[in-house]
Amino acid sequence: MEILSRLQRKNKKEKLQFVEILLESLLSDDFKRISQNRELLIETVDEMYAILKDAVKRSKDERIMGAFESIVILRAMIEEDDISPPELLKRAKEGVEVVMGK
Amino acid sequence: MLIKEVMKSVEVIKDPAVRAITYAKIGVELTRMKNPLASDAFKRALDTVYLIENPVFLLKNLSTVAYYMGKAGLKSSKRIFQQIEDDLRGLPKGDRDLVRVDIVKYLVDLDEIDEAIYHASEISDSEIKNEALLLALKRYLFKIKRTSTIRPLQIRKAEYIWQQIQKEPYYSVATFELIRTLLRVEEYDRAIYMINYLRDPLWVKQVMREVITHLKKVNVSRRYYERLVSVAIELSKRLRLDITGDLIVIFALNGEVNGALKLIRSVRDYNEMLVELSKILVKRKPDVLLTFLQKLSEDELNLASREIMNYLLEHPEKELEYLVSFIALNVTDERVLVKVVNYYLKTGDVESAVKISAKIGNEELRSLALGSIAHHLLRENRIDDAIDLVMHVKDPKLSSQLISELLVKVVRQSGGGKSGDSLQAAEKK
Repeated sequence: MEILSRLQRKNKKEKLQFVEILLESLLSDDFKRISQNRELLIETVDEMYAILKDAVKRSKDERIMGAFESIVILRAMIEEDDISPPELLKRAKEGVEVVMGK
Repeated sequence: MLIKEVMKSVEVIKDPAVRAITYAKIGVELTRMKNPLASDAFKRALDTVYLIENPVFLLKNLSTVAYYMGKAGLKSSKRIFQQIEDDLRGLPKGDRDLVRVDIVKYLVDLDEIDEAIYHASEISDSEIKNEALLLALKRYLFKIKRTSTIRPLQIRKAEYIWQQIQKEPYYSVATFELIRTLLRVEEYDRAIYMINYLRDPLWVKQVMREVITHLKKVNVSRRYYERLVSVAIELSKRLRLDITGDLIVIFALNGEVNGALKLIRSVRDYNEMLVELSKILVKRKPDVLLTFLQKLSEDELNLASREIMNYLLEHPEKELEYLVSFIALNVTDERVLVKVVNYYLKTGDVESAVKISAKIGNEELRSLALGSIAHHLLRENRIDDAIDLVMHVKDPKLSSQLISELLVKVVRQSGGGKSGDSLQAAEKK
C-alpha cells in the first residue's frame, strides 16, 4: 500500500510540475505564439484545468484551489463567448439545486 | 584621447567585480572598433578580477571576463575557461556547480557547444546538471535558422546535448523544445520521429497538439499526418497508458479527421470513443463535424448522429442546420430521424419536420414524430393542421392522447376570451 501511495504522490507531483512548466512557458513569449491558434490555446488551458481540478479534489491546499480558480477564470475568458454574470448565477444555482435534490 | 580618459575613469568604480566587467565590456566595444587599446582593457579586466577575495565570486567573475574575451574573438578565452575548471577543484562541490552553470551558459552563447557539454557533465548535482544542459540546449536551439547552410550540423549538435539530458522533467521539456525547433526549421520527418522518444503521456499530448497545429498552419503533405498517426498508435502501445482517447480528440479538433478515425478504429472501446468524440466535436468544433460524418460507415453514422442530435435538441442552434440536413439524408436509424423531427420543431421549421416524418417507415416511430408535430401545432393553435396530422398517427395510444388534447383545445378556444384564459391559468396552477 505504501508503494502505491508513493507512486500516486509521485504522479501527482509530476502532473503539477507539468502545469508549472506550461505556465512558465505561457508567461514567457510563448503566450503570444500559442494564442494565435485558438484551438491550441484552449486545449492547453483545458489540460491545466483538468490536472488542477483533480489536484483540488485530492488536496485541501488552499494554494492549489487558488491556482485552479485562476485557470477557471482564464478558461471562461478564452472559451466562453457569451459569458455574463446572470448566466453564471444561473449555472451556479442549477448546480446547487442538483445537490439539494431539487 | 576620449577612450584613454574613459579607461582611467573606470578606476573610480570601487567594486572590483563591477570594475573588471566594465573593462571587459569596453574591451569588446574597442575590438569592434578595431582599436588597439582593446587588449589593454582586457588585461585590466583580468588584473582587477584577481583582486576579488571570495574565491567563488572570483571564479564567477573570471568566467564573465573570459566570456567577453570570447565575444571579442580572443582565443585566450578558452584557455581561461579551462584554467577556471582546474581552479574549481579546490572548491566544495556545491560552489563548483554554481560556477560551472555560468560557464555552460557562456560557452553556449559563444557557440562552444562541446566545451559547454564538457563543463555541464562535470556538474555533480544531477538536478543542476540537467537544468544547465536544458538551458544550453534552449539557447543553442534558438540559434538554429532554417536558411543556415550548417543547419544539419547544428541539429546534430542539438541532439547531442539533448542526449545528455536524462532527468525528468528536463528530459521531456528538452524533447519538446527540440521538436518545436525541428518544426520551425521545417525538418518535419525528424520532428515526428522525435515524438517517439517522449516518455510522459502529458508531454506526448502537448507535443502532439503543437505538431498538428504547426503542420496545419504550414499546410504540409498528407504523408506527415499518416506518419503522425503511426507514431501515436505506437506510443499508445509502448507507454501502456490510455492516451489514445486524448490523441483522437487532438487529431479531430485540429481537423485531422482521417487520423482521428484511424485511431478510433484501433481502440477496443471503439463505440464509446466515437460517441465521446461526436459530443466533443459538435460542442467545440462543429465545422469539422460534417467532414467527419461524411467519412463514417453506416453504423458509425447512426451512432454518432444519435449523440449529435441529443446535443442539438438541448442546444437547437439554427446555424448547425446543415449538419441536421446531412444526418436526415444519410442516417438509416429511424430513431435518429425522430430526433431530427424534434430539432426542426424546436427551430420552428414545421415543414421540414413533416417532410422528415414522412420518411420514417416504422409505424411506432412515425407516430411518435407525428405526435410531436401535432403537439407543436396545438401549441401554436393551428388546430386544423393538427387534426389533419392526427389522422396519420397509427399508434392507437398516442392518437387517443392527441385527439383528447385536441378536443380540449377546441373547447377552450370556442369558449374564447376570459373564460378560456382563466381555464388555462387554472390548468397551469
